[in-house]
Amino acid sequence: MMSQSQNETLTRVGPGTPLGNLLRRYWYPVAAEVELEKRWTKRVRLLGEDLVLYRDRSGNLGLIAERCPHRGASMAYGIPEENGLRCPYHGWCFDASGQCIDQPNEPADSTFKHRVRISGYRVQKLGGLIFAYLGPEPAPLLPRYDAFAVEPAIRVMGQAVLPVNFLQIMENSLDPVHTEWLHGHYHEFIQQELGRETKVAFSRHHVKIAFDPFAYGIIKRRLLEGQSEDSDDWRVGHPVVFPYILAVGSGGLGTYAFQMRIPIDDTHTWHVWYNAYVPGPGVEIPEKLQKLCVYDVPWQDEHGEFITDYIDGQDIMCWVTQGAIADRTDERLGTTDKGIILFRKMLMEQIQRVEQGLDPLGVIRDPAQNELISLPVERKKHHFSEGFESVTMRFQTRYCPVVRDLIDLFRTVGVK
Amino acid sequence: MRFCPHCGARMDVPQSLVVEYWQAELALFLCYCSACQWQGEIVNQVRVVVSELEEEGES
Ligand code: FES
Ligand SMILES: [Fe+2]
Ligand SMILES: [Zn+2]
Repeated sequence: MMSQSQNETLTRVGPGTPLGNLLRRYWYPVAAEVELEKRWTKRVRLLGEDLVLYRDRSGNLGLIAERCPHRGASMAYGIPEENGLRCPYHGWCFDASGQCIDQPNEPADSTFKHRVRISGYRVQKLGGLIFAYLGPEPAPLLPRYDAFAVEPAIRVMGQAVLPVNFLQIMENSLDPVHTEWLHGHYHEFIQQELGRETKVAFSRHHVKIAFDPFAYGIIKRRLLEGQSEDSDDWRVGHPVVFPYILAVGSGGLGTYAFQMRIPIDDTHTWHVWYNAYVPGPGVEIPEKLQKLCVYDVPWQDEHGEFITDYIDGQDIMCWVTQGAIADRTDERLGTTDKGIILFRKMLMEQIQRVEQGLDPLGVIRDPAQNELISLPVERKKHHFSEGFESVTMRFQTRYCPVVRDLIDLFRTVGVK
Repeated sequence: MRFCPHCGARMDVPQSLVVEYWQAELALFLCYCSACQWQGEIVNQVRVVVSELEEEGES
């Protein structure tokens, strides 16, 4: 349990809030590159700000405030120019820095446009994604975490907009024992109800769990019943990359899985499941798998009920039923919730670092540190011991349009 | 938990943290003070347990 005011500090993401100021020190995905191939603009809401991402006719990307400062029409309907985006209503044009560079119906010698400026933020591409930075200058480097930067790789990205604050989703990633129940016993129960008797590796009991802060966040580890202390699950574990990514290991080598919880505003989160699969050496990546494959992950059925027969749907059911912003003033935390408490404390500490003018945890400014950041992840994860196909079909990846290709490819060549 | 055990600053401010959790019959409060950065746990003691000191050598 904690106080309402402390809960608010940890969940308000808008401009000028303590957490909002901390979160603005990191880069966030705002789109997949392929999304802007067939269109010029994409409406983006990030950290409580309404923005529009656009591609101009020179091929440059920009991210500016959605609302035209003239009389408020949406720039998401704008006209792309050689250098910037023009408002559809009266033709005012803005460049990527947010500066107004043309007001076609004002007198030719007017200096009015020099005094009109909207927000304009940095964007950068990596791993098929477009990232944005909304914080103060100088901007840190966009971290080249392994999943974004390894080559050659097949990359896929599932997405869902969830009507909840990002913190309760992140807290789930510091709660290792939920897997035993939600993805173990509950999953088995749901399957039983459907007439399929199953036993899954997830239901194995946790003997102990541990959390270790490291340079990019927190590494969490688990020891399951019957495992030895030198199992990957206990020896290596996997990290929560501060402040919004969970990186998970694999059942073999060569797959990278990020769950990114991108705060849209206080009560909405863009959940992105980003996977990179590295096939063995000498394997040609088929043409249709070369571009990032983007797909929606459904989590509600036609009656508005949660879809809970797959792993991520089970998590989503829990996050959403906790309420838009989980009420932490009446929760009853136990000993297995220490990871959650550690994450809250880390947020508070990092908020303070920012207020003291320091860089918060994981911010990178040295290019030598950023060539390729290999995150520690277990490569023989017990939970994935049932094999690539079984696991892939039990996660949200079952909705990926190229899932059969992935399974076929990795059945024949094996995952490196 | 109203005041920091280290510096005495108020702990019920928005940027400090007091999280209560339970371990068997014990209530524990993890505290982080934004005034002095002290962090630690305060335990509500249900019962005081003292172990006997080992006897040293003779007499
Ligand atoms: S038992 Fe954990 S939320 Fe219900
Ligand atoms: Fe989960
Ligand atoms: Zn103090």
